[in-house]
Amino acid sequence: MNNKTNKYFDIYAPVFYPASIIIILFIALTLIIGKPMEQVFSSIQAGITTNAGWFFVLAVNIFFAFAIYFAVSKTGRIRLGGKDAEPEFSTFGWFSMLFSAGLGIGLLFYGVGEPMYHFSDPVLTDGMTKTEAARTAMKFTFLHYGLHAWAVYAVLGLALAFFTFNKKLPLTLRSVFYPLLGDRIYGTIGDIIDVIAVVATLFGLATTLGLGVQQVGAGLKYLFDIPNTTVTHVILIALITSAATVSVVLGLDKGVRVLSELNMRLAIVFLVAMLILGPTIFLLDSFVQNTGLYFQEMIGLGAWTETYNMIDGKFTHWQNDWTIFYWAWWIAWSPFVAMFIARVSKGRTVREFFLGVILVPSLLTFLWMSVFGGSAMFLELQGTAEISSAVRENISTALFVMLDEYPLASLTSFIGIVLVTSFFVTSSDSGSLVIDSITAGGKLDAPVGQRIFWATTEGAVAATLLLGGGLKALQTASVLSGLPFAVILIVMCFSLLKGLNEEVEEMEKAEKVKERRAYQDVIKDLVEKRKDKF
Amino acid sequence: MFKQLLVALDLTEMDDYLLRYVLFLAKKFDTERLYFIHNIKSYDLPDSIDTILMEIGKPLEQLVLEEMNEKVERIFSDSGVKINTIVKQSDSTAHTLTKIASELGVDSIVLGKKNAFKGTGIQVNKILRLTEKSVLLIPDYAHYSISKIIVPVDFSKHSELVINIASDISKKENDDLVPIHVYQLPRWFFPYVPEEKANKSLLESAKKSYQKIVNGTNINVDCQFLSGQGKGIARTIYDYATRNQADFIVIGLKGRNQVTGLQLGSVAAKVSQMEWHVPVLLVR
Repeated sequence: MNNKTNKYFDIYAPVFYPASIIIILFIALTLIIGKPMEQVFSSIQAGITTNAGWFFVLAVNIFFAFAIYFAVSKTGRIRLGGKDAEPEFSTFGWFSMLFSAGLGIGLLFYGVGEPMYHFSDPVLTDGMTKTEAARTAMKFTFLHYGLHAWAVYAVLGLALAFFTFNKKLPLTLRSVFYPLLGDRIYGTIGDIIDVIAVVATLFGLATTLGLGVQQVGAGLKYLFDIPNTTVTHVILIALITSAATVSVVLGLDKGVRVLSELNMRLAIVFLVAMLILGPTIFLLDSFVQNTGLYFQEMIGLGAWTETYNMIDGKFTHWQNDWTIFYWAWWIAWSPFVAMFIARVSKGRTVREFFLGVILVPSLLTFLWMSVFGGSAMFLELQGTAEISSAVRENISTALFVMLDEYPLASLTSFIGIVLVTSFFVTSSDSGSLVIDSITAGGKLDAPVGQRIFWATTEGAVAATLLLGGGLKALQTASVLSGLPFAVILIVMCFSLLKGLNEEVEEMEKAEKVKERRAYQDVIKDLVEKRKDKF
Repeated sequence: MFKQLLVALDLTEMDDYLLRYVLFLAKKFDTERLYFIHNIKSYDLPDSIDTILMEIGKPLEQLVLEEMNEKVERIFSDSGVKINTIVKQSDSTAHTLTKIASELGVDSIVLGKKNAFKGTGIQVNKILRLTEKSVLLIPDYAHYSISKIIVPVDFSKHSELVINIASDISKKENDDLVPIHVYQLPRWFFPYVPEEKANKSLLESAKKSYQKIVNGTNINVDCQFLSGQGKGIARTIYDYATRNQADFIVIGLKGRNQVTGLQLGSVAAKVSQMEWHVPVLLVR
């Protein structure tokens, strides 16, 4: 690959320029057009989710099916990095890295908000008792953060890991299409794939950052009474992005790695603290029950498309704002999570990989949702506090409204804000790393100038979306870029299938050949020896 | 354990080491009967071999049998042990070995373990999984002596059987019996609880478990307790064995977490794959 290099940039032009142009155009258009963009975003989101919702649901199920297949069939034996590769990290270390991939702004933002929102949602819980409603709320929350979600990351993650470690191709999206396209991956079609990947990742990341900053805003209002407006949000984005950028420039990159370890620990402490401060027994009970119910209904839930639901004689479109959005969001930013997972999984077999990546973070997420969502549910069911109505008004405040009802509220809220901020920083940093790598043609250590460019661009896109239409705009960005990327991912599954099957064949053939040859030599020697004695 | 043995030969130089070790075993434990078996794999043999066979006029099985008999005779002629040589031809050595071992009613299967060539490793695992007999793995360059026997125990029901068998083996010529137990904090242990304290209580309960096992037996040696932190159980056993010049290991095939009969414990599996020069008896 021919890169244009100077001190600050190491660009692979056919990917870098189209991606940057698309994004800059987008930012410019949104800012120039102004207010009417809100309506535009709304219509786009509704249009795609209503008409292609079934496609997203189908896609996610396809990924799930592939994941199971790869894990249980002979391909499960393939080791990432070759058959002599040894796992880079101990099992415990690997699990904790997978945990850290699962923790993020999404959990913090929707951990309390989502179950409570669903609890009082007419589409989901119309006519249900409080008990039923609570169960349903947790069920749907688990669906969005559970095995289906992780299957998306796992499949892409495996593809990246396999083609990079086993086939020695560059660590970028186009490499996973080698079995289908051969050397054409180095041509235009490969460029297109990478461009779509960059745009999708960027929008997915921007969605995450946008939500994160909204939550920080809500927290600051709660703790320090700073006005929670879009202006605040934009300022926060600028501040936090610069902080992250400065750390990169100063080579404090290591600092961000340390930070991400720290914020994982802090998150666990937060989780345990909530477990203790909250209604502990209720929470533990709920974890067990929610998980069981989820596994029982997982298949039907995963394929539900709201086909027959009606209210007042009209078909409902609840899924558009929730399930479909989630699937699109996860698909859009899957390169981000998948690259991280791929990097840390060298030496694992395909089977271990899927079991670990799909089950481990899911279980942690289930615990998190049970603890945070459960704490709010407890209050709501007992009538102690009206969390669901507060959440309906402004979902980003949910966490703080809930924490307020439990001891040490100021401390826990402060920890919450610190956590979201630090996740923002690490997500922004890691995200820009991933985008760098793709726009540099798969290189793993991009120069500083480029990192700054992408980190700033992410922040800019997030800010633009917030200005252009708030939460709706954020969701639209993911949905819009998620759609084409979903198609790419489905094709990728087939490419991966081919690649893995070929590898299995090679492995088996090589083993047999070795054995056979050695044995034939033995017999030959024996026979010749006997002949001489004859 | 060693009264009637089925020994698998592979027709390479490994056989000589294996045969000499089996001779040593036979003398030490008064073995009554030895069966030596080779399974000819049903590959297509190159034409050159067919030509020679036609020249000689004998089928391959017979040639192999003659070769085996010669080798065995050379070493076992004055041993006083009853010898049988068997040649079979099938696709799967593992299945054939298992079947024959079962039919003949031997005590254990003896396999050579070549450290260099990986091809042998795959077969060993298969046999371990299939057979209901105990398996003795003899590496090349093993010393012809059994003076210090290491028995890893995990205090499962199976452990009791294993340590008793090891004890019987050691009593034959009064060799050293060294039971060891590797303890490890569970991998998901919460990182904020002090490790020392947890290790101490693990140690205490391990000591008690050992007492329970040896109660009522005639075993009166102490158990060595080792921490497997960071290395893993199999590695810890290996390091201990090498450092203390052990020359025999007796370990249970089943692990603590096995529910039903014919499965392979994870430690046993790792131990059987490691490259070392100490014979390992995997007790079923």
